[in-house]
Amino acid sequence: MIQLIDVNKTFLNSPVPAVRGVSMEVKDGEICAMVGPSGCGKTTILRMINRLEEPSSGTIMVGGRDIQQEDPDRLRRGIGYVIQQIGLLPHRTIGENVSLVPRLLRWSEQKIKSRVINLLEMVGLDPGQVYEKFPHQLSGGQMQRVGVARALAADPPILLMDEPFGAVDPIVRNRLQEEFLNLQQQVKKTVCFVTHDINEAIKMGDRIAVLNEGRLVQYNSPLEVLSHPVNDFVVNILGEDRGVKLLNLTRAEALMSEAVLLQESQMDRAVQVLQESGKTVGFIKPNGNESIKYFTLENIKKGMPVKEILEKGTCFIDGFQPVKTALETMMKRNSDVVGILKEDRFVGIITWQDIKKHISTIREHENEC
Amino acid sequence: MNVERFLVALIDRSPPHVLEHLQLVGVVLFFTVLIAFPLGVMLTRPRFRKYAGRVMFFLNAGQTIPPLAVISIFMPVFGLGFRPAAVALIIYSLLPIVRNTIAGILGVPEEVRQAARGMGMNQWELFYQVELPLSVPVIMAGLKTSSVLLVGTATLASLVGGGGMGRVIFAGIDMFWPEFILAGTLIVGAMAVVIDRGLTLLELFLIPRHLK
Repeated sequence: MIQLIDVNKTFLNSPVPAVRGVSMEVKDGEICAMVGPSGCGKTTILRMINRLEEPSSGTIMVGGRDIQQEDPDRLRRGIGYVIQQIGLLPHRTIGENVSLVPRLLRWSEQKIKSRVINLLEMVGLDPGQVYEKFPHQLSGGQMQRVGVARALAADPPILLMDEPFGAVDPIVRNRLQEEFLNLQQQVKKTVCFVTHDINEAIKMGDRIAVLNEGRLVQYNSPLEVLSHPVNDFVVNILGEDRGVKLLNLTRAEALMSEAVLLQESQMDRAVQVLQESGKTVGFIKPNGNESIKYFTLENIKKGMPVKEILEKGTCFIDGFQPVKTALETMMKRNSDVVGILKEDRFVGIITWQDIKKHISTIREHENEC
Repeated sequence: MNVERFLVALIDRSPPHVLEHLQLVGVVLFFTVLIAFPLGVMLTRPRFRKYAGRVMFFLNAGQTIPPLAVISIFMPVFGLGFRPAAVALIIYSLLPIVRNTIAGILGVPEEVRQAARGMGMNQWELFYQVELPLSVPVIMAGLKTSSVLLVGTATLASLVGGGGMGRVIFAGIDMFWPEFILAGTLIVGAMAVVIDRGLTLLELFLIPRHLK
């Protein structure tokens, strides 16, 4: 756990404080995304946690201990650090770069080697290919992976990341973000993640710390920040498409409703079953191994033959995907409904109406405050 | 042009002075590196960095004084012979090595330094594992510049009784024997080339592996 208690920082040659009275807490295993315009103090806060900068006043606790009491070099060996420019040592091979901290900690050669190979695999690099290479022989995306591997090398409980994916192109960045989130599922580090990109903060953060002019403006979960921004500054930083971003944060299964599933042989009773359950959409499981199709009350009433219904496709998404994906799928297939799958089993549906209702509840929330 | 006199200068008169010359260059380089390298490193340390400008000012000034004058200035203090020549040449040779040591170390990319510090390297580990290996090419360039300059200026040592190839060249000037001047300068030039090549070989051993 990382705790900041009334931390201030004023640089020697600057009249304005860079960080003013920031108090916050990052819980174990959580990613705290710090976001704000340049000069808001986010990087300074990060660098105070591993004592590359010293606070002018205030206390910082890491794992319950005041870091001022610790030897800075020892402290840093226990905290992973990833920066935008990566900073791999150009004269050392990838293997040597990754093993930097274990070497400083004097691990045995054997332990180091197996750890490095393990780590390179973990970040999606082929150890056989990159181990003996030098940093300049790698692509930007690969180098950044090495940077993450190096930070994780000695298995520190805490990871500080300063715009780690800022220097790679958007496609690679997206992939690195996804990979890091997957990795985080396994390693469960306490992460401070600095970014100036609100979308990245929303995507990566379990909590978002919005900073402006050295002050902590809002510190909350992405959902909370998006649905209840505390002031105009936060509204501004979130951008015009706040509602759409929210759709990205809600899992489809949260809006899911149960669906009626019939066997093909039950189709003659379809209208009755639908009306009894108060639904307007149903699904059929055709005989044989074909995938599930859907039908609407309207279709049936109009007398559309079952054969024709079965020829129509259906769209499905996984329940853990965001509502935004459901919406996109609807638009792509020109459909008002998508089926929800969980572990490849059909569990329910989400309709255009459900999404509209969801958005309007968020908007109501907003009008209240 | 008297071929016979040229051969006398080349084969008979030069060899002992070649040895003297090399000895002088060797001693001067040894002490120059001994002083210049630690001085350069010290001036890049955070505590002393603020003095770097002033020290460089003096070294630059030292370099602009003609070598002949530098050598002459020390004659009243140290008298004649090897020592005053060596001291004067050491002062004259310091600048390129100090300057390049500073430039080399400060030229290490800031992000590399930041990352290394952030990983928990202490100042000493940062210096010998990161700053030093990465600045070798620039420091070696300074050493080469200094050495090649030194082989030439060391000919002036003979004016204060320091020996060296200057003896052959100045003998030629005094006697109006161009053959002696030619033989002397050819040998000095050859020495400069050999020393430069030698240091290049040394550099190949020392430069960081990713540049090989």
